[in-house]
Amino acid sequence: MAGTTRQENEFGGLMESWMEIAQSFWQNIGGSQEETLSGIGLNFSSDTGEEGPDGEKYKTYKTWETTFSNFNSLLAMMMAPENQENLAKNFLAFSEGLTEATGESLENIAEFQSQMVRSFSKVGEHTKAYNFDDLDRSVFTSFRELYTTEFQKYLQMPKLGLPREFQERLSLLTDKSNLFSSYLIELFYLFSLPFEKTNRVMQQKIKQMLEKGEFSEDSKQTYNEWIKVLEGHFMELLKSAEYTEVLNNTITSLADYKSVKSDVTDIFLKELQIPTSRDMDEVYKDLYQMKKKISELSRQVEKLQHELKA
Amino acid sequence: MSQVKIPVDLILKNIEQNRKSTRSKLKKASTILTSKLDTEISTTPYEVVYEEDRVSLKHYRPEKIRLKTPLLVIYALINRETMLDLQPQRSVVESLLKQGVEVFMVDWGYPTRKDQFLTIGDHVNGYIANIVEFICKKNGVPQVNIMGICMGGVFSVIYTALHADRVKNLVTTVTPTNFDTDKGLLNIWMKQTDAQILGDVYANMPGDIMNLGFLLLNPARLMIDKYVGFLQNMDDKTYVENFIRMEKWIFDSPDVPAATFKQFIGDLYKKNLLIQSKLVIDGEVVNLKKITMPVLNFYGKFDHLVPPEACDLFTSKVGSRDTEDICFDTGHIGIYVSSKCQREFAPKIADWLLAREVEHVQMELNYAQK
Repeated sequence: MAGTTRQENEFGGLMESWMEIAQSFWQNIGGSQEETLSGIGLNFSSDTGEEGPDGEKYKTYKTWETTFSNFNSLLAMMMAPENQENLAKNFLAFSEGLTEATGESLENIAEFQSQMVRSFSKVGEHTKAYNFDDLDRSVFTSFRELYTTEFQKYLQMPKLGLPREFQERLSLLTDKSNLFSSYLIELFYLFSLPFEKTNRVMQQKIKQMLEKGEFSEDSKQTYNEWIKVLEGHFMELLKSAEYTEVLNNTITSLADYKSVKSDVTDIFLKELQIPTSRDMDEVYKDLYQMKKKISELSRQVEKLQHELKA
Repeated sequence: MSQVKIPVDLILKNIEQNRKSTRSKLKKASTILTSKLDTEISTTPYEVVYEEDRVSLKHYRPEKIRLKTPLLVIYALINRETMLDLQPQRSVVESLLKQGVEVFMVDWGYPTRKDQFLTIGDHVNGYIANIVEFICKKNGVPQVNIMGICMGGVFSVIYTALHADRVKNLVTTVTPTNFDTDKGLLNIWMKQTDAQILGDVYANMPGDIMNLGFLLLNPARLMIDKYVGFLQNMDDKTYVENFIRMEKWIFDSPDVPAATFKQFIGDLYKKNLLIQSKLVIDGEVVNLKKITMPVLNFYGKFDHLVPPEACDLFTSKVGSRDTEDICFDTGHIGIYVSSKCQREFAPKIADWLLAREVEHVQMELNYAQK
């Protein structure tokens, strides 16, 4: 405790010295500026007061000077020995609170990191050809879980003030964009798997051929074999439940994203007095219904005319 | 363990040979690609005789008409009907005209955002019904022959069931009527995903996204091997021209109106209502038993989009007793573009229609005599 108090006193003394030096430095600058300004006919003095002819022009400088002096006084008060203990307790409480708040987040980030490491270690393992039952999608699931538990809540915080509705829409757009991107990347990852598996199969085949002493001079034959194997792998992937699930997630997240994007775009269009697509859709719907009605009425009129003639 | 010998000398020799041939190939390819190429599609002359909103009707007139009843071809909303007239000598339309069949073909155009609310009913009871009425009035006939292709075939089936009095003979080609099968990837994906929500998101289902979906049905062949084949043959002008024509057609993808798209996935892919005669269009049940006229049903054995299992139940569910199924050893569009199928497809349709026209005339004569 005594050591802490000594440290705090040293720190306080250091701050006080720094403030004094800074104050004198800026005063010197101000003074030299005053001489320069006087030299070109502008009368300036910090002591002029409000009655002076040029005093009104330098209100900003005087305000700054006042603020600086106030800050210096506050700091001097804070550095007083009787306030040191309270100051230390406040700093401690602040850091404890911050640690607690981020503790849970740090745990989740650590968990995600361990998942990532486990996934990376699986990359080196041999993947079975023609089998998509053990797709390593845990990385994407973990990322989404981390995002929804740790980051999404900040985007969903209530907004304040006049532009709050616009801010809410922007936050929602960011949120939906992140989710859509994650599903899209997962889909691209799935599309890369057949290439990876095909290359493994072809490497095995070429190795076997070389071990037997055979060597194909015809590159077309090798290519045809490669494309046939690739086609087979793609067929297995495209029929798999995992692919259908990811495809469906991508489609639904795209739909959500596009819908929210329209909301944001509409705001800008309305500002520019340009009809939005939703405004036009309402007009088109009215046109469509009117045309149907007219068509039906025309048919009825023709029928009546026909009956009258008969 | 004996060490594996890698024939480095052979590898180097191959590389040198390939380098020389590749260099000469590239030089020739560069000349071809920068020259004037004949890549026009849909070159058979036609006249636009009817227009309604974005939809138009093309009329192809043969030199000599063998059939009194004209043939109305209804293509799908996905991709364009120009596939039936890709190039001379590989054109279904040309073949039909040579057989003396007068052809009318629906051009669905390019839907815009204002078309997003159009349902299957609007296409069938609106555009198709109006077109049929127009043709009947123009040609002075009480009925038309209808040929539907893929999704257009579904529309044809629905129209025929709801307006059987206007259809003389029905031809369906690569038409999915039974969606309860796991043989095709599309069937699996449409049943297990919520793809229909994209219709709400985009107003109309973008053609490019659908194209991407079709490419993903077989990425190895459709996104890699196809272009490797092009690189290997790009010093062949005929090959390049044919390839570019196919590319032009395959990536010319109109959007599909959202309401139609959602209805197609919901009522057909997910609930499979059509083959069960439970589909409701504009408040009316589509009863396949009402299809009592002759039906000719084509499909492809190796069709990865519409597998045979999606097509071969249809003729057993209709009310007609004059039905025939023909399965070609080809894929989804092979029936229309393969030279082998070209020699069989259009002549078979023409002969089949002509036989029924003669029968019908004979029946009318017999009735008149009585």
